[in-house]
Amino acid sequence: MENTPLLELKNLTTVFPTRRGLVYAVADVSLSLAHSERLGIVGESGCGKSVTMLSILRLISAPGRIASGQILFQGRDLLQLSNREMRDIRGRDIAMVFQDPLTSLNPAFPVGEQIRESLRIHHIAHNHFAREKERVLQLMTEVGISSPMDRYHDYPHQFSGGMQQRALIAIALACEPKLLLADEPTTSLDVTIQAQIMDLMRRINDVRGTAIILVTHNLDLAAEFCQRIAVMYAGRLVEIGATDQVIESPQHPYTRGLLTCIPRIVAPRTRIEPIPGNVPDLAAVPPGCAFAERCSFAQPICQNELVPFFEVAPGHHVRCVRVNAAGGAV
Amino acid sequence: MGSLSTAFGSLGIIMKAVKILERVLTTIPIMFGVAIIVFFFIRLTPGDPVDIMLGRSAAATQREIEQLRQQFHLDEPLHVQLGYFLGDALRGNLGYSYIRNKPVIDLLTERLPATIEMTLGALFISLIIALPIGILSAVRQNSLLDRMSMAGAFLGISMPGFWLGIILILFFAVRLQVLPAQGRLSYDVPLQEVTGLYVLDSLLTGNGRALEDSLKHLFLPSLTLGAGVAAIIARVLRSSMLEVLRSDYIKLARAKGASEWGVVMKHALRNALIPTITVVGLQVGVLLGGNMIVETVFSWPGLGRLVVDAIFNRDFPLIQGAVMIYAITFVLTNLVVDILYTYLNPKITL
Amino acid sequence: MTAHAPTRVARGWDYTLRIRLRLWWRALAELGYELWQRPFVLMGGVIVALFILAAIFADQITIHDPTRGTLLLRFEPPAWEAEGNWKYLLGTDDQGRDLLTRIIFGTRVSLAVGLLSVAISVFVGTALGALAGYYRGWLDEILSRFADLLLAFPFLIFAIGVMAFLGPGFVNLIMALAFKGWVEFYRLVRGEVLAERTKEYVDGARVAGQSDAAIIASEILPNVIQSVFVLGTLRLGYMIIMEASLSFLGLGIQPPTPAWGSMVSSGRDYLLTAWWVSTFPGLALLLLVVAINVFGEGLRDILDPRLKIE
Repeated sequence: MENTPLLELKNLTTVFPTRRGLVYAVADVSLSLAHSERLGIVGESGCGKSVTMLSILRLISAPGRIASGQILFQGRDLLQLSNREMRDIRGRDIAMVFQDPLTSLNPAFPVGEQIRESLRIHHIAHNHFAREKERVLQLMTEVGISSPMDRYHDYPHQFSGGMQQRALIAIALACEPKLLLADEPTTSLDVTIQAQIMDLMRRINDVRGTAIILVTHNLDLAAEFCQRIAVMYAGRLVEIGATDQVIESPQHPYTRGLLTCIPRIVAPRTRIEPIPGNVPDLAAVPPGCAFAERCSFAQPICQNELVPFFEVAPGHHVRCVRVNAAGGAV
Repeated sequence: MGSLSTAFGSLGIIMKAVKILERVLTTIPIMFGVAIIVFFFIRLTPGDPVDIMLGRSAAATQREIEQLRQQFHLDEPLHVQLGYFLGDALRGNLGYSYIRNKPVIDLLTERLPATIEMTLGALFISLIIALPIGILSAVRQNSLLDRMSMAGAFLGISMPGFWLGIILILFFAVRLQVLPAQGRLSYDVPLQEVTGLYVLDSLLTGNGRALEDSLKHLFLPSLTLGAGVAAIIARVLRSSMLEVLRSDYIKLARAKGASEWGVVMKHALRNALIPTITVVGLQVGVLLGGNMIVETVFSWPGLGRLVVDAIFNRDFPLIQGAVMIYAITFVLTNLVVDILYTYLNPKITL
Repeated sequence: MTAHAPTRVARGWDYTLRIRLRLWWRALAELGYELWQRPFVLMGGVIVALFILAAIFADQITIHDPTRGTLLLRFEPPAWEAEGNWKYLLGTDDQGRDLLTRIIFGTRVSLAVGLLSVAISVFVGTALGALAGYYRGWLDEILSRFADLLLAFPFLIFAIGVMAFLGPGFVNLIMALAFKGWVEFYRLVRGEVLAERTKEYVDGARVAGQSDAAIIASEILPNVIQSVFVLGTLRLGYMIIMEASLSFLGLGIQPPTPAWGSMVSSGRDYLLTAWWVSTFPGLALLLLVVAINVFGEGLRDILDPRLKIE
């Protein structure tokens, strides 16, 4: 049981038809996640991180669709499930925390009721109101909402940003899911609140063993929180490995670019170097490496052929031809 | 700490009550303004106000003329006259119809139930039509159903009410002969009046025959009056549903595992109703105006026809009183809509 | 101020005017292109244009007298009915007058009342709205209160009330409609001017020494004119329905002048025997209003999508 991964994406591809052509928002992404693992997915905005998360929940809204691949959750392919079966999984086994807490909470209902709804949908407390409410108050305390009794009937707009995010997390945790998808959970918050929320997520992972996929554009945040990191670029995974491997010896030029973009206080003073150029048009991604145009090491072969993954160290995979040629040392 | 938050909670309710009270108070100057405008209508009409008020056809005696001069204090300056007029209006005295020989307020209250019944019928029919259409065409955007409904709604907002009524009569009463073309009740159906709303009265007195008959009579006028309103509500509801369905909280509701029905009917509809309710409020004015037309088309013995008749008889006190009743009803319904809006929208600042 | 400052301002005027004309021309060309892309909207415009032409050339395109008929020819059914007569395409009314002729002449009333009442509403509403929005203060206070007050009356009831006191007739009808119609334009323009007046180009014009009137006329109004135009088109259909409704009640245009509303009303007594008398004038009204609204909503989508959610 523990040997089968909790979640396994196999060649997941999600497309959106647009006027300019088919956009491959997620292209051939494969990765796996163990029970209780903390995985980070890092990349610039628009690189397909969020779409990957929504694909896992099968919440891609038309005309977008999952074109091919498999999403194995505890060995079951979610893409083969009926809508009804999929609804039972959403919220109960896999829950999601969205980026903007204010717009993610329904403005028309009290926060407590919105947490209770998760319990009601999945019959966690056998639709017994008093027990549901008791559980909601427990959850609110657990995520750090003070005096939950009084705040139960408050509306989202009466909550501060940090409290809203805690409420969202409470909603996600309500049914004790095995997997939590956190899509930029701290991006819209103050730095101090950010730290509190990340602490809370770590505690959830520790205490309950909930596996977490943290989607962020902030490599530092991912490095601090996650055991493994996957780097995405233009819909594709370009590097994946243990956090130490990716941070200490990044192999893909894009990952390196991301690392040099981050200002550091402790590290030796170096200039912050932006990555030149822009993310390619997803409707016209070149056949080869999507990063080739911005890569200072690009060779002719990069433009034309799809680069496979190379394993540079145990568990550390990189999609770059230079890695193969140089045998790991860049 | 806890008790402090509780205090804040009840403070919120009090603040909401204060807001509502404030809103109620703001209607008072508007009512006064309405009364003043109505007052000046008669004064600004060319001719002697007494002649105007008596109506050109009424053969008034000298005593009546004197009475009228006294009642309206016509020998006093204008602002004093206005004061008396407002004082009378406050006490429910809207003047006297010399043509019908009855106090205006009695004439109005006699006819009011018929108009209320038709307006409620129209509101009911328009909601029955518009709610499902607005919701379904948003959920199935660009489907055949959506396109057909929106084409229909477009026709609805461009449709002159009086003509729709006539077409409905031609079809249902003249050709198919399944529904009556005029009146509220057939002559041979007895009904004991309680409230004056015939459908309600027949229910209260357990009169099945009258119930069927009054519903049949009510259907075409209500449909005529409600069609345009239904079209507008459907359009607004659809567009606000579309906007709401794109929002993050709908995505979250789906991520929670909520059924499609729950997502649409609970999470989306509740929010989409907030802008819709404002529009429904504005439509009440359309319904009030439409009453006059539809009551004329269907010979419905309500307030609207009373006013139209009064205009032809140049029965000015009656016109004046009716216009005031209409404006006040309109202001009051807007007040109710605002309060409903407060209730639906937790974020409200009135 | 130096002596030649005024000439500089004048040249500036001329210059901005030329630039503006060129921009307008380009906007017009763009509008034409957008319309071409929307066949329904274009069709609406064409139908409206046909109605306008019919109104102008009513005398030339009809063969019967619109106000006098032959009683012997009362209630001729439409031509395609069993007893129809091709000389009277849509049949005749209770006085033996040709229905089609009267419908064509009725276009005149509908369009004239509609266009004139909208034009007056636009003019009054825009002028007062610009003044209130630009100067604010007591003028704004009074006008806005008055506008709020007028809004307390439902449109048709207000118009009926005014007509009751003024008495029926063409001019009274237009006045009754415009007396309430200006409020919407007032609110639109006032809001836009309030927003525009704080913008930098207005400050710039003020610094350059332009007078308030010149700033309002040449800097601010051109920026709100599109919205006004769109709203005006959308209100036109409504005004036409209002006119027809008043005429239907007998408060608008008086017989024998052909007006669609009163024609529908006069056919009401003969619904059992002559369905066409009420039906066709109403159909013409519906067609015209639908065409105007299709065109108006199309214009709104092209020119001013902000107005979409009202």
